[in-house]
Amino acid sequence: MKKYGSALGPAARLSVWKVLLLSVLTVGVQILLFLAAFWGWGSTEHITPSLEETVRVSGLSLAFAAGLVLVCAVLVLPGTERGAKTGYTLRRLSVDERVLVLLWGGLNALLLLLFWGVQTAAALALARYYLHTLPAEFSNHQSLFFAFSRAPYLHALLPLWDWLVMARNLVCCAALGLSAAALPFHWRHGRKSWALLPLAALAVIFFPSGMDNVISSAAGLMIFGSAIALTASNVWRCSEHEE
Amino acid sequence: MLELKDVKKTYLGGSTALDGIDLTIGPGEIVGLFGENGAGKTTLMKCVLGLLRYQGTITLDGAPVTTRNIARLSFATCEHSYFPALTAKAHRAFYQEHFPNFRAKRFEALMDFFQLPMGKAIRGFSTGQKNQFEVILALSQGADYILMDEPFAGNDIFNREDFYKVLLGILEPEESILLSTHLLEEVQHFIGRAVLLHQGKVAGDVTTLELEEQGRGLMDFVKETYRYQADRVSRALDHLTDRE
Repeated sequence: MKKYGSALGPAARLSVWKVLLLSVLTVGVQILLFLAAFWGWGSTEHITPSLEETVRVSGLSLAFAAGLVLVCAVLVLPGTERGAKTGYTLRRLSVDERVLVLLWGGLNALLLLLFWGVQTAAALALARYYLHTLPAEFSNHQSLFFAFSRAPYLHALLPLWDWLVMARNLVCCAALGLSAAALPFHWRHGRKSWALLPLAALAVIFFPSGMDNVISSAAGLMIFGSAIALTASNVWRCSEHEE
Repeated sequence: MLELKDVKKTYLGGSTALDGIDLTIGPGEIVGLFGENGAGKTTLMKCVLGLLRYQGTITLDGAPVTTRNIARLSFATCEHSYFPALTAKAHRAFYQEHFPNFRAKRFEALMDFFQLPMGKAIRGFSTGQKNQFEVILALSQGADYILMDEPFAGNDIFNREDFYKVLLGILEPEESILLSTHLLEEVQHFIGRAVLLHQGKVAGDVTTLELEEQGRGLMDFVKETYRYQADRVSRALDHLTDRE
């Protein structure tokens, strides 16, 4: 197992700080969007918008979507052999390349969870900031809880009791992570593979949806779950029936 | 002993890259692999390393090349196979982890000889330094059979000369080298055997000792094998001049 960890080292070195940087940049954009919506609204309408409305108008979910797509791109980069055919070295190691791809997918999934976690922390901080700026009669201890229950984007970030959405998000991270690892694997073996693109698009569309909609969440869960099974079996089969 | 028996490789498009190659390379041999572009030199090496599927058999001391014995083969390629974002120091740690016979002392000596920095990411190296580092990794892996595919492309003549000398000085008796290059005249005093490929087949296989005994140079042997027509340039020029 130590050899597999070592084989993943170069990819991890390349990905971790880039994902962290993208997470922070996305948060920076979200802060700007949120403050622009919050203060812009206040100066023109002379009313206090609800937190849910501010989140919706500020387009935080769009910034999240853009960040997620960029993170997926960053996860693919270490395996794309820019500047050198690193695959020649990876394929000469005394490790099973298929197992390596699955572990690489796991690493990618953890990095996607990191992105999700940073976005959740940022959303919580923005929500707390919002509530602090309101007069005491407009906010209380439950305001935050209500906001994360009612705003689709906030709910998707922190689904609280909604285990279906939580499961969907986790499976989505695993599916995207595995696809991001499988894509360069297929390229290394001279095959075309673009499964990550539709999956990332689906993730972006599905993410802020599903609140109070069991069918939507279940559909997302099934699609991403199937993607994991298909990608894993494809990696296994392709390696056995290589050209 | 690295043994290839009736190795054939046909690409998906239908082009035949290797057409029944039989070749044996013993311990300690330094073999030059020559041939025109498209003769099958790179394909042959990739088949040996298991990077391409092929027909026929390739064995290492009688056993097929698998993840169990692949560490006995190393590869230096002009396409480069290092990790561009890693430093030389990180490569050393990586290779030590994956290749139990990694020659750390040789790695450090060669890094020192070529004055390559240990703490700089390889992508920051010059083209010549990248080639040197690629070859250093292949030589330091601790492999019994070192495959080199045009490893000096982009290096100046002084670098190459130095490298041949160093190489001859550091190789252990059991280490074998299969060197694919177009620089025939440069490597003729360095290799012990020349294998010529032509259209996916072995067109010639001779030791430099045999050539010496016959009083022939490597270039003569190559020209004869490929039926090189020395007058083709003058004929072409005459033809062109007549037309005008």
